Amino acid sequence: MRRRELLKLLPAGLAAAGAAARAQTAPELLAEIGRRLENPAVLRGEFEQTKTIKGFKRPLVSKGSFVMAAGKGVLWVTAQPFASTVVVTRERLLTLGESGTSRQVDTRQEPGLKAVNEMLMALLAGDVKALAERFQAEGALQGAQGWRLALKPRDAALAGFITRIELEGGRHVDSVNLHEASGDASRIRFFNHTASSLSPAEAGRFGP
Amino acid sequence: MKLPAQLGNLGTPQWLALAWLLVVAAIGWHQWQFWQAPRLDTDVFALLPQDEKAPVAQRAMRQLGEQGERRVVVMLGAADWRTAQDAAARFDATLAAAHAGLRRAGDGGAATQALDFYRPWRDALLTDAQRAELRKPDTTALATQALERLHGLNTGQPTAWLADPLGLWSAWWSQRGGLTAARPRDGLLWVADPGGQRDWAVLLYETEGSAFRLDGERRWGDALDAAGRAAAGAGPVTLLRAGVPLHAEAGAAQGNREMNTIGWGSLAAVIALVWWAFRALRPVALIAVSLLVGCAAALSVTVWVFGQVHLLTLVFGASLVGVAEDFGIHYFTSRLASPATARWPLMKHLLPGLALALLTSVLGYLVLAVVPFPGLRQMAVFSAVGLVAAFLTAVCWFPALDRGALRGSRMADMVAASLARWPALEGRRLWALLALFTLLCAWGVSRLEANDDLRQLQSSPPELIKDQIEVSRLLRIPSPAQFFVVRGATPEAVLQREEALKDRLLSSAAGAGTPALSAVSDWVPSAARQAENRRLSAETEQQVLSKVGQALGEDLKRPAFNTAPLELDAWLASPASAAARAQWLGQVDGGYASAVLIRGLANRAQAEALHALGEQVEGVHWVDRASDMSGLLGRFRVTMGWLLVAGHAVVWLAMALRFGRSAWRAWLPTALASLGCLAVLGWLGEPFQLFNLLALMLLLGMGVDYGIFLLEHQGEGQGHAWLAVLLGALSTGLSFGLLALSATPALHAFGLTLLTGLALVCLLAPLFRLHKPHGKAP
Repeated sequence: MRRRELLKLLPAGLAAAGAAARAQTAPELLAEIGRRLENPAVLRGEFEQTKTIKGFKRPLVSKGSFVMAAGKGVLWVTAQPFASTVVVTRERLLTLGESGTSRQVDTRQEPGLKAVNEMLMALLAGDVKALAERFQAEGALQGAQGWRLALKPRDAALAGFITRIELEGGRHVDSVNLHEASGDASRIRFFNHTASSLSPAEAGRFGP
Repeated sequence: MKLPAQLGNLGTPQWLALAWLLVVAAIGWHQWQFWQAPRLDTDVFALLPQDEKAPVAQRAMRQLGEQGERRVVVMLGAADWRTAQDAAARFDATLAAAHAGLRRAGDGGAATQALDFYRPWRDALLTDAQRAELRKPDTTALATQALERLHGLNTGQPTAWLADPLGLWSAWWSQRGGLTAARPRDGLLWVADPGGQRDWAVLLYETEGSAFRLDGERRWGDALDAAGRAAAGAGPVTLLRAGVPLHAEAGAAQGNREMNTIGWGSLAAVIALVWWAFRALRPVALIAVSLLVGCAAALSVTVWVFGQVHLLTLVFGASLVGVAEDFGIHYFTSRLASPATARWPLMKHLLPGLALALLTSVLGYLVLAVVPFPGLRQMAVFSAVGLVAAFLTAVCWFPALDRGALRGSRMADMVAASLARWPALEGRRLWALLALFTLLCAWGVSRLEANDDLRQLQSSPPELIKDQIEVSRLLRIPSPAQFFVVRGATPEAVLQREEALKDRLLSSAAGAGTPALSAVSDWVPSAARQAENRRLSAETEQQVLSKVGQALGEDLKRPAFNTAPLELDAWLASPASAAARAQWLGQVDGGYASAVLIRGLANRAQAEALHALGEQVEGVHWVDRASDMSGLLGRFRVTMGWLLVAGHAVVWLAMALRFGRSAWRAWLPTALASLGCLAVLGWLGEPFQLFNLLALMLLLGMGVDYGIFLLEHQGEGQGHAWLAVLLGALSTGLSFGLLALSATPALHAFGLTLLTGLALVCLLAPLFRLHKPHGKAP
């Protein structure tokens, strides 16, 4: 009964389209995607990022590996074309450059960044529940395991940076498409997912 | 006073009564109109004196005050953000459902609007640290960082990459954001407690409607209370609220309560006393009428002169009831004393004494108006007009309306007779008493401690003040009373001087906890600084772009920015200036001025250091309104002290003209009582302030009346004059005693001083009466 009420609220066209793609209301869809995703304590894998930036003729491609530790943060290790490591935690954003330089921003001072960090962590972990708090989600299930989601920021401040995010995946997040307010966009593909534990060096990166 | 002489010549009091009826009808009509839409003022600052020496500081105060006059801040604190968020949601929903006239303010759209406004001048906006770095840039390192950022994980940027390849703008914005501690988070504003582990959700509201509707009900306060209870459902939550409207509402509620207590309390007391003395309805009704006319005339004239009336004026004015009844009571006690005399001749006989009493009281009140406190002037005008109207009512109407015999009560006769048993001092006994009294007083007066603290005028409930202080601390709201005023010949000169002041603080400041400045130039740098920033960013960014372009095989073009500088006027007109617009004071005596506010001022030493720092920059003046005001109150206290001495001399002279060598008998009780008041304040450890002296001025006006009444009536009439004095003093004392209950320290001081003083005058006056018949008795 509640479902019928919700459907009434949806614009007719959208409701029709939704029905065609195995109609799901947002909470049910998100719950189902959550069930399809595996949530290991530590997930590693490789990525390939393609950025399209205004004023650049060619897209910027980078490759590397990532480690996603649930509740702790993300290690983003770029190998090509420049070696650099980004550590994303709730408390800070740490960039370690090729020449050993490091820059750190504390999210206590910049809560805008905190929101971005939390969003990045949720995106990579496929934490659909956390994402749904910040974004309006629309999407559909694909096949027995697949799904896709389109996210729009609820918050005007966040919308000043990001206009739209598209996610696709199955047991893991396979790709993220990020559309920025400036017109730039980045597409990240993830592959070779494995679940394992953190090495002491990696655990040290996340800090106390 | 020419009036009594004229009245003496008029044979037809009916003519007078009718003329006064016309005036009263006009007042009644005006009152009826006024109460349709009463123009009541509750702003405590309206009471504050005008400081002619610092018009710019005054303007800054007013402008900064107006900015927040509709704003209500609510903060909900919890051990974790989720609980605080939940509490805020419950709070907001409950408040919205209550329709209490508070609208949620500060939507998230403002941030995007501000971004768009500043975007064309991105290249001209740099932080101090960035300017230092770009003066000696390491372009190779910057290019490497830019490449890393280009290929790294995207963390969001408010412009296109090419428009800000070094990622400078975020830092500029986060410094603007640092102007308040609150940051947007999850559609709310968020503050972390700097000390503890608390997260606070901040909700901003604005009062709806064009005018304050202050009818003494706590509409907003109650709605916030209810919403607070709903928020507590989320878990253990701390609620803080602040904002001018809440103080105004609390002030109105309290003022209303006090006005009712004092007004109705005094009226009841007067009626009871009159009934007790005369046992007849007529005196009660007539005296009530004279009070009613007095109060109505007072209100009408005050509104007519000032455009509106302050609530504290009404609270103070409520004590008028206890003063204005003296004329009526005096008339009726005289009727008791000589029942055979016809009404009008009796009134004519009483007139000189009544007029003199009126004159001294009105003078006492009008001296209050000498001090340039707008609030005190209102109170003075209100009270003086009220007294005159009550006097005229008694003179014009009482002889006409008072028909039939007046029996009087046994009690009244007993009181009148009691005077005979009261010792009248002469010779050695008099001197001994004077010496003893003076000694005691000297001891008390020596313990007096002067206090000119501005907070005497503050009457807000302590919990509201506590909340306000806590909210200011958490949100790092700048001090409203201590700031710099920066002046210059042109707006550009003002902005440059602001920058010089900020640079000076930056180079001298050491360590955390240093206060920070917030200035208009934070938002609109001077044209000179914009040009410098533009040059620095253009040079470095061109070089970094060409290096990045080389590395990637791209031909990168830096987009064009607006070459005209960001103008102050454009900023003032845009929504982006909402937060700091009030700091721009505009054109001031031939030049321009702005206020530079100070955040995180923790102690006096910091304030003094800043003061000294400001003196080193041209065109910068330190303003400390609290200490300015206290200094002003102190100066007025000294002036008023001398005026009081002069007032006593003038009163003594005025009485010497009528009573000759006996004049001291009417004057001395009041003088001694004034001394006694000061001594009592010293004994009680009450602070000695301007308002005590103002009360003593009033005491001079009223206390002397009792001496006059006793001197006017000799022999048999003296007993009934004594009755009048006692009744008058009792009701006046009651009124001011009720005023002493006021939560406003200034009114409390006023009430307490007058209560003590009147009691002393009553005790002392009969001691100095002329004992033997004088030959002036009727």
